[in-house]
Amino acid sequence: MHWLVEYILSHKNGTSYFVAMIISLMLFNSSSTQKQQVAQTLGQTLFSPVQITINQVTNIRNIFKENDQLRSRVSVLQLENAAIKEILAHSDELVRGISYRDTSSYKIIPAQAVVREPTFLFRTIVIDAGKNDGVQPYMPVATVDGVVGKVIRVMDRTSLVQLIRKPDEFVSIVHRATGSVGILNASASDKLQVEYRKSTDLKLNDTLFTSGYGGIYPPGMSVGYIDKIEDAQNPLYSLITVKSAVDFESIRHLFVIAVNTQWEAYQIELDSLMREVEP
Amino acid sequence: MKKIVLWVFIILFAITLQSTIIPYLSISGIYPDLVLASIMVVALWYGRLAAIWGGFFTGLLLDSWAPNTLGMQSMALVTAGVFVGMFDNKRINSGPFAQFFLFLLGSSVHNIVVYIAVGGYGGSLVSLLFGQVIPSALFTSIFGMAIIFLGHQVHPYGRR
Repeated sequence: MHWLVEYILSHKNGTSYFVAMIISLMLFNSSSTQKQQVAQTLGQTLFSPVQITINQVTNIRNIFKENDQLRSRVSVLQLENAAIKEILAHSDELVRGISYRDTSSYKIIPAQAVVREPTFLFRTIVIDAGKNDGVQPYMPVATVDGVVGKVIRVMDRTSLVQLIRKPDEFVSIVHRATGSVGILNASASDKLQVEYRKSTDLKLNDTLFTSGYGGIYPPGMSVGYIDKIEDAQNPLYSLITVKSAVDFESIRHLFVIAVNTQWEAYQIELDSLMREVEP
Repeated sequence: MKKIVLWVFIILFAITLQSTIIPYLSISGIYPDLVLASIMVVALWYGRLAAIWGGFFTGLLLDSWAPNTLGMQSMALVTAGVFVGMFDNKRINSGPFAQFFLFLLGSSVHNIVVYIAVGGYGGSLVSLLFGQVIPSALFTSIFGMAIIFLGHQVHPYGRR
Protein backbone atom coordinates (compact mmCIF):
# COMPACT_ATOMS: atom_id res chain seq x y z
CA MET A 1 0.00 0.00 0.00
CA HIS A 2 2.87 2.29 0.85
CA TRP A 3 4.32 1.91 -2.63
CA LEU A 4 0.98 2.85 -4.17
CA VAL A 5 0.86 6.15 -2.25
CA GLU A 6 4.44 6.85 -3.23
CA TYR A 7 3.67 6.06 -6.87
CA ILE A 8 0.64 8.36 -6.84
CA LEU A 9 2.61 11.21 -5.27
CA SER A 10 5.47 10.83 -7.70
CA HIS A 11 3.13 10.60 -10.69
CA LYS A 12 0.52 13.16 -9.66
CA ASN A 13 -0.23 14.33 -13.17
CA GLY A 14 -0.60 10.92 -14.71
CA THR A 15 -2.65 9.54 -11.81
CA SER A 16 -4.90 12.61 -11.77
CA TYR A 17 -5.46 12.34 -15.51
CA PHE A 18 -6.21 8.64 -15.19
CA VAL A 19 -8.66 9.14 -12.28
CA ALA A 20 -10.39 12.12 -13.95
CA MET A 21 -10.79 10.22 -17.23
CA ILE A 22 -12.04 7.06 -15.50
CA ILE A 23 -14.64 9.01 -13.52
CA SER A 24 -15.67 10.93 -16.66
CA LEU A 25 -15.98 7.71 -18.68
CA MET A 26 -17.98 6.03 -15.92
CA LEU A 27 -20.32 9.00 -15.78
CA PHE A 28 -20.59 9.12 -19.54
CA ASN A 29 -21.39 5.41 -19.79
CA SER A 30 -23.83 5.34 -16.87
CA SER A 31 -27.57 5.00 -17.48
CA SER A 32 -29.61 8.11 -18.07
CA THR A 33 -31.32 7.72 -14.68
CA GLN A 34 -27.96 7.64 -12.94
CA LYS A 35 -26.82 10.60 -15.00
CA GLN A 36 -29.90 12.53 -13.94
CA GLN A 37 -29.29 11.67 -10.28
CA VAL A 38 -25.61 12.66 -10.44
CA ALA A 39 -26.42 15.88 -12.25
CA GLN A 40 -29.12 16.63 -9.69
CA THR A 41 -26.75 15.93 -6.80
CA LEU A 42 -24.05 18.06 -8.38
CA GLY A 43 -26.52 20.81 -8.97
CA GLN A 44 -27.89 20.72 -5.44
CA THR A 45 -24.58 20.47 -3.61
CA LEU A 46 -21.38 21.47 -5.33
CA PHE A 47 -22.51 23.81 -7.99
CA SER A 48 -25.67 25.35 -6.62
CA PRO A 49 -24.03 28.72 -5.84
CA VAL A 50 -22.62 28.90 -9.36
CA GLN A 51 -25.90 27.81 -10.88
CA ILE A 52 -27.76 30.36 -8.80
CA THR A 53 -25.38 33.08 -10.01
CA ILE A 54 -25.74 32.03 -13.64
CA ASN A 55 -29.51 31.70 -13.28
CA GLN A 56 -29.59 35.19 -11.83
CA VAL A 57 -27.57 36.51 -14.76
CA THR A 58 -29.92 34.72 -17.15
CA ASN A 59 -32.91 36.09 -15.24
CA ILE A 60 -31.47 39.59 -15.45
CA ARG A 61 -31.05 39.16 -19.18
CA ASN A 62 -34.65 37.96 -19.38
CA ILE A 63 -35.75 40.89 -17.26
CA PHE A 64 -34.09 43.30 -19.71
CA LYS A 65 -35.79 41.53 -22.60
CA GLU A 66 -39.11 41.51 -20.77
CA ASN A 67 -38.61 45.16 -19.90
CA ASP A 68 -38.16 46.01 -23.57
CA GLN A 69 -41.27 44.05 -24.47
CA LEU A 70 -43.25 45.75 -21.70
CA ARG A 71 -42.03 49.16 -22.82
CA SER A 72 -43.21 48.58 -26.36
CA ARG A 73 -46.49 47.19 -24.96
CA VAL A 74 -46.90 50.28 -22.81
CA SER A 75 -46.36 52.48 -25.88
CA VAL A 76 -49.03 50.55 -27.78
CA LEU A 77 -51.42 50.73 -24.82
CA GLN A 78 -50.77 54.45 -24.41
CA LEU A 79 -51.69 54.97 -28.05
CA GLU A 80 -54.82 52.83 -27.63
CA ASN A 81 -55.68 54.70 -24.45
CA ALA A 82 -55.30 58.04 -26.20
CA ALA A 83 -57.50 56.82 -29.05
CA ILE A 84 -60.16 55.59 -26.60
CA LYS A 85 -60.05 58.87 -24.68
CA GLU A 86 -60.44 60.70 -27.96
CA ILE A 87 -63.48 58.60 -28.84
CA LEU A 88 -64.94 59.08 -25.35
CA ALA A 89 -64.38 62.81 -25.51
CA HIS A 90 -66.35 63.00 -28.72
CA SER A 91 -68.85 60.24 -27.99
CA ASP A 92 -71.49 62.65 -26.69
CA GLU A 93 -71.03 64.83 -29.75
CA LEU A 94 -71.25 61.77 -32.02
CA VAL A 95 -74.43 60.51 -30.35
CA ARG A 96 -76.02 63.93 -30.68
CA GLY A 97 -74.82 64.05 -34.28
CA ILE A 98 -76.45 60.72 -35.12
CA SER A 99 -79.68 61.86 -33.49
CA TYR A 100 -79.54 65.15 -35.41
CA ARG A 101 -78.93 63.31 -38.66
CA ASP A 102 -81.86 60.95 -38.05
CA THR A 103 -84.30 63.69 -37.12
CA SER A 104 -83.22 66.35 -39.60
CA SER A 105 -85.61 67.06 -42.44
CA TYR A 106 -82.67 67.82 -44.74
CA LYS A 107 -80.27 65.44 -46.38
CA ILE A 108 -77.17 65.44 -44.21
CA ILE A 109 -73.58 64.67 -45.29
CA PRO A 110 -71.44 63.90 -42.22
CA ALA A 111 -67.88 65.23 -42.24
CA GLN A 112 -64.92 65.91 -40.00
CA ALA A 113 -62.75 68.97 -39.84
CA VAL A 114 -59.32 67.83 -41.01
CA VAL A 115 -57.39 71.06 -41.54
CA ARG A 116 -57.79 74.56 -40.24
CA GLU A 117 -55.94 77.74 -40.93
CA PRO A 118 -52.71 77.95 -38.93
CA THR A 119 -53.73 81.27 -37.43
CA PHE A 120 -55.13 82.28 -34.07
CA LEU A 121 -58.41 83.49 -35.53
CA PHE A 122 -58.92 80.95 -38.27
CA ARG A 123 -61.81 81.66 -40.60
CA THR A 124 -61.77 78.68 -42.92
CA ILE A 125 -61.49 74.95 -42.36
CA VAL A 126 -61.15 71.93 -44.60
CA ILE A 127 -63.54 69.04 -44.16
CA ASP A 128 -63.14 65.44 -45.34
CA ALA A 129 -66.21 65.41 -47.56
CA GLY A 130 -66.11 66.55 -51.16
CA LYS A 131 -67.63 66.20 -54.60
CA ASN A 132 -67.59 62.40 -54.32
CA ASP A 133 -69.80 62.64 -51.23
CA GLY A 134 -72.28 64.96 -52.90
CA VAL A 135 -70.98 68.24 -51.52
CA GLN A 136 -71.52 71.29 -53.73
CA PRO A 137 -70.41 74.90 -53.37
CA TYR A 138 -72.47 77.15 -51.06
CA MET A 139 -73.97 74.27 -49.13
CA PRO A 140 -74.39 75.24 -45.48
CA VAL A 141 -72.27 73.51 -42.87
CA ALA A 142 -73.41 73.04 -39.28
CA THR A 143 -72.84 71.09 -36.10
CA VAL A 144 -75.55 69.82 -33.82
CA ASP A 145 -75.22 73.12 -31.94
CA GLY A 146 -75.71 75.46 -34.85
CA VAL A 147 -74.45 77.10 -38.01
CA VAL A 148 -70.74 76.88 -38.81
CA GLY A 149 -70.44 78.39 -42.28
CA LYS A 150 -70.74 77.47 -45.93
CA VAL A 151 -68.76 75.47 -48.45
CA ILE A 152 -66.83 77.78 -50.75
CA ARG A 153 -64.66 75.36 -52.67
CA VAL A 154 -65.17 71.68 -53.42
CA MET A 155 -62.53 69.12 -54.29
CA ASP A 156 -63.10 65.41 -54.90
CA ARG A 157 -62.68 64.31 -51.31
CA THR A 158 -62.37 67.53 -49.35
CA SER A 159 -64.07 70.89 -49.20
CA LEU A 160 -63.12 74.33 -47.96
CA VAL A 161 -65.59 75.83 -45.51
CA GLN A 162 -65.81 79.53 -44.74
CA LEU A 163 -66.90 80.16 -41.15
CA ILE A 164 -69.62 82.65 -40.30
CA ARG A 165 -67.09 84.60 -38.28
CA LYS A 166 -65.34 85.76 -41.43
CA PRO A 167 -66.03 89.50 -41.84
CA ASP A 168 -67.31 89.23 -45.43
CA GLU A 169 -69.86 86.58 -44.46
CA PHE A 170 -73.44 87.77 -43.95
CA VAL A 171 -76.16 85.61 -42.44
CA SER A 172 -79.81 86.53 -42.37
CA ILE A 173 -81.13 85.81 -38.89
CA VAL A 174 -84.40 86.07 -37.08
CA HIS A 175 -85.38 86.71 -33.47
CA ARG A 176 -88.21 84.26 -33.11
CA ALA A 177 -90.05 85.89 -30.22
CA THR A 178 -90.47 89.16 -32.13
CA GLY A 179 -90.04 87.92 -35.70
CA SER A 180 -87.46 90.64 -36.35
CA VAL A 181 -84.99 89.88 -39.09
CA GLY A 182 -81.41 91.17 -39.16
CA ILE A 183 -78.16 90.64 -40.99
CA LEU A 184 -75.45 89.05 -38.88
CA ASN A 185 -71.91 90.00 -39.73
CA ALA A 186 -68.53 89.48 -38.07
CA SER A 187 -66.53 92.51 -37.05
CA ALA A 188 -62.82 92.80 -37.72
CA SER A 189 -62.22 91.30 -34.28
CA ASP A 190 -64.44 88.34 -35.21
CA LYS A 191 -67.33 89.40 -33.00
CA LEU A 192 -70.66 88.41 -34.48
CA GLN A 193 -72.84 91.47 -34.51
CA VAL A 194 -76.28 92.45 -35.75
CA GLU A 195 -78.27 95.70 -35.58
CA TYR A 196 -81.91 95.70 -34.51
CA ARG A 197 -84.31 98.53 -34.09
CA LYS A 198 -84.41 99.73 -30.50
CA SER A 199 -88.10 99.05 -30.34
CA THR A 200 -87.49 95.32 -30.73
CA ASP A 201 -87.98 93.52 -27.46
CA LEU A 202 -84.64 91.69 -27.12
CA LYS A 203 -83.27 90.02 -24.01
CA LEU A 204 -79.86 88.69 -23.17
CA ASN A 205 -79.40 84.98 -23.99
CA ASP A 206 -82.25 84.98 -26.50
CA THR A 207 -81.48 82.52 -29.30
CA LEU A 208 -81.18 83.76 -32.86
CA PHE A 209 -81.95 81.48 -35.80
CA THR A 210 -81.36 81.59 -39.52
CA SER A 211 -84.28 83.20 -41.29
CA GLY A 212 -83.86 81.39 -44.59
CA TYR A 213 -83.92 84.72 -46.48
CA GLY A 214 -80.24 84.74 -47.30
CA GLY A 215 -80.61 81.96 -49.81
CA ILE A 216 -77.91 79.75 -48.37
CA TYR A 217 -78.86 78.73 -44.85
CA PRO A 218 -82.21 77.01 -44.45
CA PRO A 219 -84.54 78.59 -41.84
CA GLY A 220 -84.57 77.52 -38.19
CA MET A 221 -80.89 76.75 -37.63
CA SER A 222 -79.47 78.06 -34.41
CA VAL A 223 -76.85 80.77 -34.94
CA GLY A 224 -76.10 81.99 -31.43
CA TYR A 225 -77.26 83.80 -28.30
CA ILE A 226 -77.55 87.48 -27.50
CA ASP A 227 -74.46 88.25 -25.46
CA LYS A 228 -74.53 92.04 -25.27
CA ILE A 229 -76.94 94.83 -26.18
CA GLU A 230 -75.52 98.32 -26.68
CA ASP A 231 -76.28 101.49 -28.61
CA ALA A 232 -75.39 101.47 -32.29
CA GLN A 233 -74.00 104.46 -34.20
CA ASN A 234 -77.49 105.06 -35.59
CA PRO A 235 -79.51 106.17 -32.52
CA LEU A 236 -82.54 104.24 -33.75
CA TYR A 237 -80.76 100.91 -33.56
CA SER A 238 -79.16 98.67 -30.95
CA LEU A 239 -75.92 96.85 -31.66
CA ILE A 240 -76.31 93.22 -30.62
CA THR A 241 -73.24 91.10 -30.00
CA VAL A 242 -74.00 87.45 -30.60
CA LYS A 243 -72.21 84.57 -28.97
CA SER A 244 -71.97 81.79 -31.56
CA ALA A 245 -73.79 78.57 -30.76
CA VAL A 246 -70.74 76.71 -32.06
CA ASP A 247 -67.40 76.60 -30.27
CA PHE A 248 -65.13 77.12 -33.25
CA GLU A 249 -62.03 76.20 -31.26
CA SER A 250 -63.17 72.64 -30.63
CA ILE A 251 -65.01 72.13 -33.86
CA ARG A 252 -64.65 68.57 -35.13
CA HIS A 253 -67.72 66.68 -36.31
CA LEU A 254 -69.79 68.57 -38.83
CA PHE A 255 -72.65 68.13 -41.23
CA VAL A 256 -72.97 69.49 -44.69
CA ILE A 257 -76.64 70.20 -45.32
CA ALA A 258 -77.31 69.11 -48.86
CA VAL A 259 -79.63 71.91 -49.97
CA ASN A 260 -79.29 73.85 -53.20
CA THR A 261 -78.86 77.56 -52.83
CA GLN A 262 -82.19 79.30 -53.22
CA TRP A 263 -80.71 82.31 -54.93
CA GLU A 264 -79.41 80.16 -57.78
CA ALA A 265 -82.87 80.19 -59.36
CA TYR A 266 -83.16 83.97 -58.81
CA GLN A 267 -79.75 84.42 -60.38
CA ILE A 268 -80.92 82.62 -63.53
CA GLU A 269 -84.03 84.80 -63.62
CA LEU A 270 -81.95 87.90 -63.03
CA ASP A 271 -79.52 86.97 -65.77
CA SER A 272 -82.34 86.45 -68.29
CA LEU A 273 -83.85 89.80 -67.28
CA MET A 274 -80.49 91.50 -67.69
CA ARG A 275 -80.13 89.99 -71.14
CA GLU A 276 -83.54 91.37 -72.06
CA VAL A 277 -82.72 94.84 -70.75
CA GLU A 278 -79.31 95.02 -72.38
CA PRO A 279 -79.36 95.74 -76.13
CA MET B 1 -4.29 28.86 -2.35
CA LYS B 2 -4.14 32.29 -3.96
CA LYS B 3 -3.52 30.63 -7.33
CA ILE B 4 -6.45 28.23 -6.90
CA VAL B 5 -8.80 31.06 -5.99
CA LEU B 6 -7.58 33.00 -9.03
CA TRP B 7 -8.12 30.22 -11.55
CA VAL B 8 -11.46 29.25 -9.99
CA PHE B 9 -12.47 32.87 -10.39
CA ILE B 10 -11.26 32.95 -14.03
CA ILE B 11 -13.14 29.78 -14.90
CA LEU B 12 -16.36 30.85 -13.18
CA PHE B 13 -16.16 34.21 -14.90
CA ALA B 14 -15.62 32.41 -18.22
CA ILE B 15 -18.66 30.16 -17.62
CA THR B 16 -20.77 33.20 -16.82
CA LEU B 17 -19.66 34.97 -20.00
CA GLN B 18 -20.06 31.79 -22.04
CA SER B 19 -23.69 31.40 -20.99
CA THR B 20 -24.59 35.06 -21.38
CA ILE B 21 -22.59 37.14 -23.85
CA ILE B 22 -20.61 34.70 -26.01
CA PRO B 23 -23.67 33.29 -27.91
CA TYR B 24 -24.10 36.78 -29.40
CA LEU B 25 -20.62 36.55 -30.97
CA SER B 26 -21.65 33.61 -33.13
CA ILE B 27 -20.45 33.71 -36.75
CA SER B 28 -22.32 31.26 -38.99
CA GLY B 29 -23.21 29.16 -35.96
CA ILE B 30 -19.61 28.96 -34.74
CA TYR B 31 -18.70 30.73 -31.55
CA PRO B 32 -15.69 30.64 -29.22
CA ASP B 33 -15.49 28.37 -26.18
CA LEU B 34 -14.34 30.74 -23.48
CA VAL B 35 -14.38 28.01 -20.83
CA LEU B 36 -12.01 25.89 -22.91
CA ALA B 37 -9.82 28.93 -23.51
CA SER B 38 -9.68 29.55 -19.74
CA ILE B 39 -8.75 25.91 -19.01
CA MET B 40 -5.97 26.06 -21.60
CA VAL B 41 -4.68 29.33 -20.12
CA VAL B 42 -4.74 27.73 -16.64
CA ALA B 43 -2.82 24.78 -18.10
CA LEU B 44 -0.25 27.10 -19.62
CA TRP B 45 0.19 29.14 -16.47
CA TYR B 46 -0.16 26.54 -13.70
CA GLY B 47 0.60 23.21 -15.37
CA ARG B 48 -1.17 19.95 -16.01
CA LEU B 49 -2.41 19.18 -12.51
CA ALA B 50 -4.39 22.43 -12.26
CA ALA B 51 -5.70 21.89 -15.79
CA ILE B 52 -6.79 18.30 -15.07
CA TRP B 53 -8.82 19.07 -11.95
CA GLY B 54 -9.94 22.46 -13.23
CA GLY B 55 -11.07 20.86 -16.48
CA PHE B 56 -12.71 17.95 -14.68
CA PHE B 57 -14.83 20.03 -12.30
CA THR B 58 -15.61 22.66 -14.91
CA GLY B 59 -16.67 19.92 -17.30
CA LEU B 60 -18.91 18.40 -14.63
CA LEU B 61 -20.41 21.80 -13.98
CA LEU B 62 -21.16 22.28 -17.69
CA ASP B 63 -22.46 18.71 -18.02
CA SER B 64 -24.79 19.12 -15.07
CA TRP B 65 -26.90 21.42 -17.32
CA ALA B 66 -27.18 18.65 -19.92
CA PRO B 67 -27.14 15.37 -17.94
CA ASN B 68 -27.52 13.20 -21.07
CA THR B 69 -23.87 13.83 -21.91
CA LEU B 70 -22.58 13.80 -18.34
CA GLY B 71 -18.81 13.22 -18.38
CA MET B 72 -18.28 14.32 -21.99
CA GLN B 73 -17.13 17.89 -21.29
CA SER B 74 -15.00 16.61 -18.38
CA MET B 75 -13.15 14.23 -20.70
CA ALA B 76 -12.73 16.83 -23.43
CA LEU B 77 -11.56 19.62 -21.13
CA VAL B 78 -9.22 17.33 -19.18
CA THR B 79 -7.67 16.04 -22.42
CA ALA B 80 -7.23 19.53 -23.86
CA GLY B 81 -5.84 20.76 -20.51
CA VAL B 82 -3.32 17.90 -20.30
CA PHE B 83 -2.25 18.52 -23.89
CA VAL B 84 -1.61 22.23 -23.35
CA GLY B 85 -0.22 21.59 -19.86
CA MET B 86 2.58 19.48 -21.37
CA PHE B 87 4.00 22.72 -22.75
CA ASP B 88 3.34 24.96 -19.75
CA ASN B 89 5.38 28.04 -18.94
CA LYS B 90 7.37 26.20 -16.27
CA ARG B 91 8.85 23.90 -18.94
CA ILE B 92 8.90 25.97 -22.12
CA ASN B 93 9.07 29.73 -22.35
CA SER B 94 6.96 29.82 -25.52
CA GLY B 95 6.23 32.98 -27.47
CA PRO B 96 2.81 34.25 -28.49
CA PHE B 97 2.76 32.45 -31.86
CA ALA B 98 3.68 29.14 -30.25
CA GLN B 99 1.03 29.71 -27.58
CA PHE B 100 -1.56 30.47 -30.24
CA PHE B 101 -0.62 27.30 -32.12
CA LEU B 102 -0.80 25.36 -28.87
CA PHE B 103 -4.28 26.71 -28.18
CA LEU B 104 -5.30 25.84 -31.73
CA LEU B 105 -4.17 22.23 -31.24
CA GLY B 106 -5.70 22.04 -27.74
CA SER B 107 -9.06 23.35 -29.01
CA SER B 108 -8.98 20.89 -31.92
CA VAL B 109 -8.26 18.02 -29.51
CA HIS B 110 -11.20 19.16 -27.35
CA ASN B 111 -13.54 19.36 -30.35
CA ILE B 112 -12.47 15.97 -31.67
CA VAL B 113 -13.07 14.34 -28.26
CA VAL B 114 -16.54 15.93 -28.15
CA TYR B 115 -17.38 14.70 -31.68
CA ILE B 116 -16.18 11.19 -30.84
CA ALA B 117 -18.18 11.19 -27.60
CA VAL B 118 -21.42 12.27 -29.26
CA GLY B 119 -21.06 9.50 -31.79
CA GLY B 120 -19.50 11.12 -34.81
CA TYR B 121 -20.47 13.73 -37.31
CA GLY B 122 -22.91 13.57 -40.19
CA GLY B 123 -20.44 14.80 -42.84
CA SER B 124 -17.00 13.75 -43.98
CA LEU B 125 -13.84 14.11 -41.86
CA VAL B 126 -12.62 16.98 -44.05
CA SER B 127 -15.85 18.92 -43.62
CA LEU B 128 -15.74 18.18 -39.88
CA LEU B 129 -12.19 19.53 -39.63
CA PHE B 130 -12.54 22.57 -41.88
CA GLY B 131 -16.21 23.30 -41.27
CA GLN B 132 -16.37 22.90 -37.52
CA VAL B 133 -13.21 21.93 -35.65
CA ILE B 134 -10.65 24.39 -37.03
CA PRO B 135 -12.91 27.50 -37.27
CA SER B 136 -14.13 26.93 -33.72
CA ALA B 137 -10.55 26.25 -32.55
CA LEU B 138 -9.33 29.45 -34.22
CA PHE B 139 -12.07 31.47 -32.58
CA THR B 140 -11.32 29.92 -29.17
CA SER B 141 -7.55 30.42 -29.60
CA ILE B 142 -8.05 34.12 -30.26
CA PHE B 143 -9.94 34.39 -26.97
CA GLY B 144 -7.26 32.36 -25.22
CA MET B 145 -4.62 34.81 -26.45
CA ALA B 146 -6.82 37.68 -25.27
CA ILE B 147 -6.85 36.17 -21.76
CA ILE B 148 -3.06 35.75 -21.88
CA PHE B 149 -2.72 39.37 -22.99
CA LEU B 150 -5.01 40.58 -20.17
CA GLY B 151 -3.07 38.44 -17.70
CA HIS B 152 0.18 40.08 -18.76
CA GLN B 153 -1.38 43.50 -18.44
CA VAL B 154 -2.42 42.74 -14.86
CA HIS B 155 0.74 40.87 -13.83
CA PRO B 156 3.47 41.33 -16.46
CA TYR B 157 6.13 38.88 -15.27
CA GLY B 158 4.28 36.66 -12.85
CA ARG B 159 3.47 33.88 -15.27
CA ARG B 160 6.97 33.18 -16.60
